[in-house]
Amino acid sequence: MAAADSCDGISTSGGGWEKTVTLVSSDDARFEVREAAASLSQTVRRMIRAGGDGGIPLPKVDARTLSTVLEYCNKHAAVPAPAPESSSAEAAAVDLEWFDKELMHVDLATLCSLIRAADYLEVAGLLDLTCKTVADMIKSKTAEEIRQMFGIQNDFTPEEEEQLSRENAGVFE
Amino acid sequence: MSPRDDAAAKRDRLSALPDDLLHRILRPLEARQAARHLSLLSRRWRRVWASSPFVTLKDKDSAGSERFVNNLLLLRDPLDLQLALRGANAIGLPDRVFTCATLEEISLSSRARDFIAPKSAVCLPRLKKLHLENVQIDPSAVEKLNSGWPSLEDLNLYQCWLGSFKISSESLKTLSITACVYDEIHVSAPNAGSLKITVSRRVYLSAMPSLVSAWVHCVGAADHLAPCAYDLIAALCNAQRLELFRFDVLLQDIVHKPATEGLSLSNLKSLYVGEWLVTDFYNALAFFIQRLKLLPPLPRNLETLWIRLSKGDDVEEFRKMRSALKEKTKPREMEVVWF
Repeated sequence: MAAADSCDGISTSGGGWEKTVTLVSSDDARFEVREAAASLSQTVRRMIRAGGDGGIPLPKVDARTLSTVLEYCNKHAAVPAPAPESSSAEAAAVDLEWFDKELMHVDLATLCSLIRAADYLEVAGLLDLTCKTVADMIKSKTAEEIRQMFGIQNDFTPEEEEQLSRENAGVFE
Repeated sequence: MSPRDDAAAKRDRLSALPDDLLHRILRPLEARQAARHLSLLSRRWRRVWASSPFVTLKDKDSAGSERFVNNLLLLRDPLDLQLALRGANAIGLPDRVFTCATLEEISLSSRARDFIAPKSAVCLPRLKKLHLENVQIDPSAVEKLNSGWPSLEDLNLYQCWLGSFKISSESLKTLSITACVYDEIHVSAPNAGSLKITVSRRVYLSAMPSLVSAWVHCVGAADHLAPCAYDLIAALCNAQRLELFRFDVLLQDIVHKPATEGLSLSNLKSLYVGEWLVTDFYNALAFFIQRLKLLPPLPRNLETLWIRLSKGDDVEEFRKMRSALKEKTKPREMEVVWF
């Protein structure tokens, strides 16, 4: 355990007087994060309330995924809430949208890890964003295109497949 | 690197996600595409598709929609049905929708004024939320609906054609009927906490003891509204927040009813009176104050009072009215504007 850690896993950083918490990934990497950002995760928020020693353990999330999740949380928690309809609110929304888009430029394996992590950590915005990203990739594609894109193995026998598409055609066309 | 570059990676991480996450991903996808392609990907995907609690159908061509939805609901037990019908020809909402025991939410928006006319009894035991937009409800459906949705909590009708409509529900918590065309509406919702309604013809409200906030916009002519004006105001009496638009139309009739004196707005914390169509500003003030006396007396603990009046460009008159109102109601926060 790093000496700087306070015993309850919550320390106060120097400069901004902002409360921070330490999160520990499954591969034992430690991340010091502003509490406001970490609290976008409902799971972490509950654990902060419960208290604990030496940082908050997140055994289901590896360091690489966690750092992306925290990038999202830091960005989204940093946005102040200006009066709606003001031009700065609009600019902030556009900036966030751009940030989200950039963040989703990852390979499929990472995207799937992010979905699991967002679900486990209960970061609602990130879960919506990642699921929507996958949905957009699937949208208006044929079965064969989707299989190729995601490496999905077609485990129907040719007869079954034939029968299912006949059934589908009968029911839905 | 774009996600597409990963196609070569043969490990299928997507299929490895748990069902509930895959359902979440599938949720916004079109029901037709999902049925045609996603259900054929693999055994795993067939199961995921068939067990998904969400159905989203955005139909550009309504031909065959009725049959499609009926068939889909025979194969699936969804909790949530989102239909956006965009075809040029109106269709009836499929019968199967009205007997779906698992459904908790239905949202239907239509372009061609699709209609609700279930042929047999309605049985939606778990339905909590029903949102309809630009849908016509057949007179024959009203009784069936009222006896078929025992758990309904949230009813939202927008730009619907209702004819003579009735809602009678113990479970209803939120009711919104706006921009609809109707002859009359009877509402009995004793546990509703929130009411939003455009009053263009007769609206009969039974007592709403649980009401917290209400938004009422009068757009009808006074003689249409007269018979129900007193009940309407009586039903609003328990509210903490009231937003009343063009309420002067209703008040004109109330003036002559001595019974209004017995009413009291004792819970009221916030009042917004808007869009009064009166030409002379000073008369508007007199009118308002006078009606206030006849209306249930405003409580002294009013926190906010907002008023929007028309045709007021005389600053002197505006000031007079402000101070008179302030004296009368003593709210903690007050705003009077004109438009």
